[in-house]
Amino acid sequence: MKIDEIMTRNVRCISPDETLGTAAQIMWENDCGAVPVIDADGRLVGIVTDRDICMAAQLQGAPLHDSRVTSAMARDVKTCSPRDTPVTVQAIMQQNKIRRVPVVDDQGRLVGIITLGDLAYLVGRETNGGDGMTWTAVAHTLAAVSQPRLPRFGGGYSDRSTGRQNFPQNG
Amino acid sequence: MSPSRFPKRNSSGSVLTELSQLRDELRVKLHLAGLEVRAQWESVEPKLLGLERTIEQQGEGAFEQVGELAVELVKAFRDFSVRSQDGGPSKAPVHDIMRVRVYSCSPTDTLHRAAQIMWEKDCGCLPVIDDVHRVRAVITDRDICMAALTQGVALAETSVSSAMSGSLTVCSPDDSLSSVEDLMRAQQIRRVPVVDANGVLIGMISLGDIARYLRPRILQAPASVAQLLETLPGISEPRARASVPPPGM
Repeated sequence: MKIDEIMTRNVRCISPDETLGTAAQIMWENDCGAVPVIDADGRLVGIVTDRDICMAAQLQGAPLHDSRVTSAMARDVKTCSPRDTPVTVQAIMQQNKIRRVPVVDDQGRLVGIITLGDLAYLVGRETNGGDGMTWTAVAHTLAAVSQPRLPRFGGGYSDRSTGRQNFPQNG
Repeated sequence: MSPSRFPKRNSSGSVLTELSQLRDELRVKLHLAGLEVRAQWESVEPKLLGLERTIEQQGEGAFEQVGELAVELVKAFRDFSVRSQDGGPSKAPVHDIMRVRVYSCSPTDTLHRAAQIMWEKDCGCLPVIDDVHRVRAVITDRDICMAALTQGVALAETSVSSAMSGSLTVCSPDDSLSSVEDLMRAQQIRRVPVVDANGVLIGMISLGDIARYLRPRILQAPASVAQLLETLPGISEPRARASVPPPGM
């Protein structure tokens, strides 16, 4: 089993120059909590979450349509390949305490996204847990990603590792 | 030892019978239990057999000395028996694992204030409480994000009451973990405020709290894990968008 068999394709993306209002609109329309950010060539350059937008709105003190995606997105994004196995991706989630991993090809272009929910669904569907992944492994990952946020991948308002002094001031 | 405390167990014979029945029950169940439970049992079993022998040999006289201990043991083994069953840990009460240090906000606070608390306390969900600490709603970072979109103004210009959840799901500290999981699955939520009989906030419990609690107990209770994992895909599916008007309205 490879990730490209279970990932979500046709993910709605956004450009770094668009506004947080547009990002929130995409989240609204697709009922999702994260939007990958891609450049003109389709290469992944970041990811922005609903929490990032909430925190940007708080810290910047401006309406969402006045803030650019680039001001709130996380830049150092953990990714996986469409050829990776569910077990590999589950390890990436556990180590980095993240529940969503963008899937990129060898050129760094976004081809899909995979979530912890997708992996749990997979385990629920297959008795052997999809290539050796078990209930226990996914439960461990769930427990790990649910830990209070610790330093993790860089950038974005949901990341505490960069410290408050690095964030834009109000106004 | 006061006889009134043990009205139905005032002979060594009845305690002995109960102990050996429980022991037999446990032996059957232990075939299904995890390694850790079996190891625990192996350390306890010789003590139990010793006690049984003492009671047998000394009759009623022994009961005077060890009766209370034997009754305690019966209680402990009942507990052990319940916990070694599949699904045992998920029968634990919410009270045992809920977080009691909970930050909250008021309906009249600005969204700016609510987001500030979420930032400072590194949480994504706040219960909204009234003047007497009764829970009225919850508000999440996503609610604030969507309110910022739909209202199109800075967070300082709008209130928590304009963005908080329309419906409220709470649980009691006496509820079992499995019943709270059922609740989370049915409502597609990850976090539930814990309230007393008057609706006053006393804690919060999340799916992550339950996962962390069950993690070391997983080997002993596969059924509870299976149930936990059923909950996760459920809440990860798109939610019905009943409570919030679409943008542009």
